[in-house]
Amino acid sequence: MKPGLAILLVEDEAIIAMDLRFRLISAGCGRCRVVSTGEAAVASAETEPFDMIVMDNHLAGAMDGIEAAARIRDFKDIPVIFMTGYPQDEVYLAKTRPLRPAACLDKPVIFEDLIAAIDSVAS
Amino acid sequence: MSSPSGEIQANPAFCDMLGYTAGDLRRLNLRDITHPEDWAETARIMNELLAGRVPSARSVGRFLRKDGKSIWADVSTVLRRDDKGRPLHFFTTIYDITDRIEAEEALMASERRFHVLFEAMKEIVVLHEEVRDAAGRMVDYRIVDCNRAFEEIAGMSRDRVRNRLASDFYGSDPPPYLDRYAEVLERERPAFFEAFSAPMGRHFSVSAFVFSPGRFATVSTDITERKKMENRLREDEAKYRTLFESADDAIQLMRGDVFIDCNERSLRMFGCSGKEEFIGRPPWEFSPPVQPDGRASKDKARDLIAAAKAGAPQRFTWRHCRLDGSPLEAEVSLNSLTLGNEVYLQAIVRDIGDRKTHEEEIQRALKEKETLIREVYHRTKNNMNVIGAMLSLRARALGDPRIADIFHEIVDRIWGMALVHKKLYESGDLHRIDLREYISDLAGQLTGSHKATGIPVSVKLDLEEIPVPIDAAIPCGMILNELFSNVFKHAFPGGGAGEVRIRLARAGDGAVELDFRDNGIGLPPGFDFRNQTSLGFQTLVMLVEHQLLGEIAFGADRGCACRIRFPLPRGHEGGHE
Repeated sequence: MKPGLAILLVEDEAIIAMDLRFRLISAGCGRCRVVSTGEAAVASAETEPFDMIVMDNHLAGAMDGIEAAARIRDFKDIPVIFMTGYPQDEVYLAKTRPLRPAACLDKPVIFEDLIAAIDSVAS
Repeated sequence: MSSPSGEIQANPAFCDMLGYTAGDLRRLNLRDITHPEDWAETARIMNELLAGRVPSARSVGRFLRKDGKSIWADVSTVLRRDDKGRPLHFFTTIYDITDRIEAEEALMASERRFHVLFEAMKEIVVLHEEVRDAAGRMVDYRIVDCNRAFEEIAGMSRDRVRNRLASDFYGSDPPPYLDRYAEVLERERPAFFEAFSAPMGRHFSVSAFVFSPGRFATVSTDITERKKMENRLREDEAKYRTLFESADDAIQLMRGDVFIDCNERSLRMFGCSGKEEFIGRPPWEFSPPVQPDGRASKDKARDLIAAAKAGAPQRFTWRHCRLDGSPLEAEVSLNSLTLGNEVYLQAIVRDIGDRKTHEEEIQRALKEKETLIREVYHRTKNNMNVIGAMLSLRARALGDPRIADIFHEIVDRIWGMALVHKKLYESGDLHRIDLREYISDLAGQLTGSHKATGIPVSVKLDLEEIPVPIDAAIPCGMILNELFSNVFKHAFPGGGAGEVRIRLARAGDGAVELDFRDNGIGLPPGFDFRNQTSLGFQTLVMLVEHQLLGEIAFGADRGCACRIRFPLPRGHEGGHE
């Protein structure tokens, strides 16, 4: 993984967020901001620069990952890697397609796959 | 004239009567022309006259004609005597009364016949005579005669019936039907009526007519059985009418294309206030123009009616509408029935509006249950992932690579189980997952998580689609975990490009066969999997033999080969559905 990347990790499950953050830092990530709601993600994206966003679709607040990504897309062009438990869901696919996500990963995310996706976005 | 010894002298009239000439008769004796059966009487009369006991005699007797036929004659005889009182001859006057006698005989025969008929009749015949008061008003009637049928039903002989006043006999004043009989006598017109005799407990059909002035006859037929039958029919009719009217289904009778009768429920169901709003109209006037299948109600109804009339009972759902136009979902059955020579249709219409709503509710509840189950699977999977993440975090925090490896192995197994739940909530039937898809995903997950080991292992799959229940899928996942873990730990000690082949197939007996083979260093010589101290092997054997009730075998032909075979639980042997 390209060292020093700034990643916004949007994940509402605390333990999973911690684990992923730990792994990303171990793999060389420079800065990893973790938020649990879509609203917080939008706020972070507005105030901080990120190289990419790793976004869980299912989030704690009222706003889901897709909506948060769409909001962010309105003011900033940051690549988004989606993670979802329902990769086959037609509604989900129909909603994410127009956002042209950098990758869509199946949960639980195989960390190596995530690294591969991050690498392809960063290059 | 004839002599006491029988010589005959006769006038031409007598000769003509018997067909003899006067000469013939002179040669015959009286006995010759007297009917043999009557000779004794003739001889007796002659002796009486000769003895002088009677002056003259009159009798009816038969004479024989020359042609052999006999004639009846009214015979008057006197004995002429000389002046000394000695018999001279019998002077006989003879009238041919054959016609009269024959007419009398015929009448008697006729009377006898009618009497037999009268007696033998099943019908009760009673002859009556009017009884009038001083003012000439009929106040009673007397029983003159009756036949055997009456004796039987009255339980007494005619001697005790004859000459009794009806008021006395029947014990009622005025006697039964006095006014009616008075009218019959007055107008001389027969009357017919039905009567019930309370003492006898029987019904009669009576006809009364005048047979001579002041006299009338009654002929009565016992119609008690017929009455009972009629009452039964009436009761039956009432019973079926009640059924018809109280049925919860609308029942209608149709002739041609229109309703000719219907029950109460029909009127309520179709929102009619009276039968006149329903009867005389065809069913499509109580239907929207078009049925849900797009066909015109009129055309479709006519087809169904024609089919039912042809003898094939029809049962179908139909969209009706009430008189006010509101829709009415119904299930209709049409049957033809023949009454007399006419073909009718019986329609039974059931309002299934409630049932439809009920079915929709059940569907909704089922859908809700499925959603909940999916949700539970989803949460279970999430929780497992959280446990996995927790272990990863802890392992790294400890900083001991050996402990990290152990944690890593456990995380892989947890993920393997989480994947089963994921497959379940993604699957159509929520109870089974396709083992092919599961193995394929799990192999990807495991090779991915072992990338860190630095051994690039490619996986070749040859998998058959086999739906299995969760109870079989979980141990399968753990078995693959053990096998992959073995590959990464032991098969390629010097690194290099490894290859794993997995084959999944259904045996002829329905058992599942799983072959797992690598191209690594293979098993050590004399390998006995039952005598292994490693937890991994023990787990593997336990999972196959203990949990799946299957068999496991190892082979070592260029690398390590493991063959597993296990039966599917009852109810899942069928495979594809």
